[in-house]
Amino acid sequence: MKFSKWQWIIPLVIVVFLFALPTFMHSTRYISLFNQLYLNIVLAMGVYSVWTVGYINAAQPVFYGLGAYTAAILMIKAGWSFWLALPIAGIVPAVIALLFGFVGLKLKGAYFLFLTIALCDLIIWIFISWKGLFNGQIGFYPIPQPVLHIFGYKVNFESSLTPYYFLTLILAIITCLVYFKINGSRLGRVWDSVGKNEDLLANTGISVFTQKQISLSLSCFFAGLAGAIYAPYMKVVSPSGFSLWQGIWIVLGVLVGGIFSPIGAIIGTVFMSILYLLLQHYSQAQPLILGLILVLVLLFMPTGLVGLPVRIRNKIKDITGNKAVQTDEKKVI
Amino acid sequence: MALIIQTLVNAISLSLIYILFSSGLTLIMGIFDVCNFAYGDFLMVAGFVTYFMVTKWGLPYILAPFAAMLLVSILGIVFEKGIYYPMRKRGGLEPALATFGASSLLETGALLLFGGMPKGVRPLITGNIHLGTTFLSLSRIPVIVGGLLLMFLLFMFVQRTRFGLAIRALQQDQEAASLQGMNISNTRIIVWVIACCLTAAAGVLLAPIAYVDPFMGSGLLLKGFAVVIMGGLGSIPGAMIGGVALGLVDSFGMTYLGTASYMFAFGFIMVVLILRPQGILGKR
Repeated sequence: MKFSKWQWIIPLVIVVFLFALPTFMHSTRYISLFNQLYLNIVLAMGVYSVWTVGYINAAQPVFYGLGAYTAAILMIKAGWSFWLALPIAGIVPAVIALLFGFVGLKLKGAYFLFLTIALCDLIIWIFISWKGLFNGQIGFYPIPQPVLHIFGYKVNFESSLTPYYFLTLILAIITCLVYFKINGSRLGRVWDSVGKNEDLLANTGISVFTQKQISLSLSCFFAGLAGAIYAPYMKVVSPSGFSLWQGIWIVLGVLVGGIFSPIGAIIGTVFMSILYLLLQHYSQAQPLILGLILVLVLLFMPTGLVGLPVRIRNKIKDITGNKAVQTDEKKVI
Repeated sequence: MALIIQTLVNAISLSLIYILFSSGLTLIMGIFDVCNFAYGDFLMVAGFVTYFMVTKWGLPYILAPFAAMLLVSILGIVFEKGIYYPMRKRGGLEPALATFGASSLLETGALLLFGGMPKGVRPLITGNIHLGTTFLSLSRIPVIVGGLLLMFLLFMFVQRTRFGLAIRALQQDQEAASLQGMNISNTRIIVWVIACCLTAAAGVLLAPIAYVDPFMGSGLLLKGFAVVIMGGLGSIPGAMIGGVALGLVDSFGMTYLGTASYMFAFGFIMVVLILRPQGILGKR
């Protein structure tokens, strides 16, 4: 994706606005909502990028959980500082994803989806059963807070959520920048072609399997980082914090936003967060509504929210008799 | 020794359920090349039909399979017309996601309508046989007899009739089959009806020996996928071998290892996939 001369202003304004937000938004409830949103965006970007190589990873929350557990174990059992544990918490899920990929990524897309669903159950089961390392159902509580001094001032991680707001926001921005950069680079085009026509790409001498591995591991690396921030932010890490349904929410967000661009992943995640707020009190009916949205979006809105304007424009032109613009998914934005 | 015999009988009846369930799944997945995540819920619907007919309304158990097959076949045709046919040109991933959505619709629908409490169905034959210290439950007999009978019928249908030939042709190449003058959309519906009848039968047979609840299918679905992937996509003999293997691993694992058997089954699939990514009887 290339920005024209003025287009970079819009994201910049949004980012500046988001950085300034805590100065006039003091409600803890809203801050925690935003924190969760940023963490979800990190996960969604990963799901999006794996989707471009033709796979849906519904186990993203479990890799996120692995990151959280790694950070918690390193901080509590080994007494490491948060900043030292953070990169390790990214690397551990990435390595596990690499091992999983050796089997899973040889399968076709839908079977991979099935395998990630099974993996989700399996890893949560390991969290519960391996009491020596993961502490069973109880998990870890309390998680030590990170210590950070900026210009001699100690940042207050203990009693305020605002430092976490900035931490999650910075992580989300870094993730988005990395993925936007990849999307515009040669690597992004390679990944895109892996998803579109694997065999053709393999004939040009590119190792398709390696590309898939890189994509999956990178996404799980970021998920692990998000998990590492989640651990001290929630102060508790337990198996009940991570579930398959969380993964379905994220996959659905990417789908609703539009699977043809990383912006779709962001918009979709924001949309799903709003939906989540609306559905908060109807937790029993949630899967029903999610399932309905999933089927309807797939059948009637295949390009997602991002592709909607072009589709509507084409529909109008169809009705008025003008020739429709050729819809190229990549040129939607 | 007694425990081994009991577990073996359990393994046989479980294997037959797995085989019935996954032969239908492998048929659908082999022909349409799409994962069906709602397939387990077809079984759940059949289970609820059995529960309502036998426990609630007091009708004879023999009627339940026919009602379940009819209802589940209608459901399958709705899937074909609503999801599979409109999305047939969009690769395998998106229809699979749509069936996932449909699955959560069906499950939550059942949960809201009938509640999450597990419901029992009275078996056709009750009582136990005592062989020394071994207790064998007679409720397994209908499962074993019905399962073997249906497998025989399926085998004869696929191998010996014109419809079976059409299905096998469709599995190889849809376009070439259509060029030979085959009516593709009718054959697709026949495939759906067969697969739905198989899963309905599995549901009706499973209901008395297990419980009926909205999530009974989704647990079985993962195992069904495992069998299909293990046995090779679209291969019914492969599904039989995979079903027996998973039934044995599952029953013996559950008896001797407890909940760790879940991981054991998962590890088993992983090993098969590493050694033979196309499945035991699959072709590349």
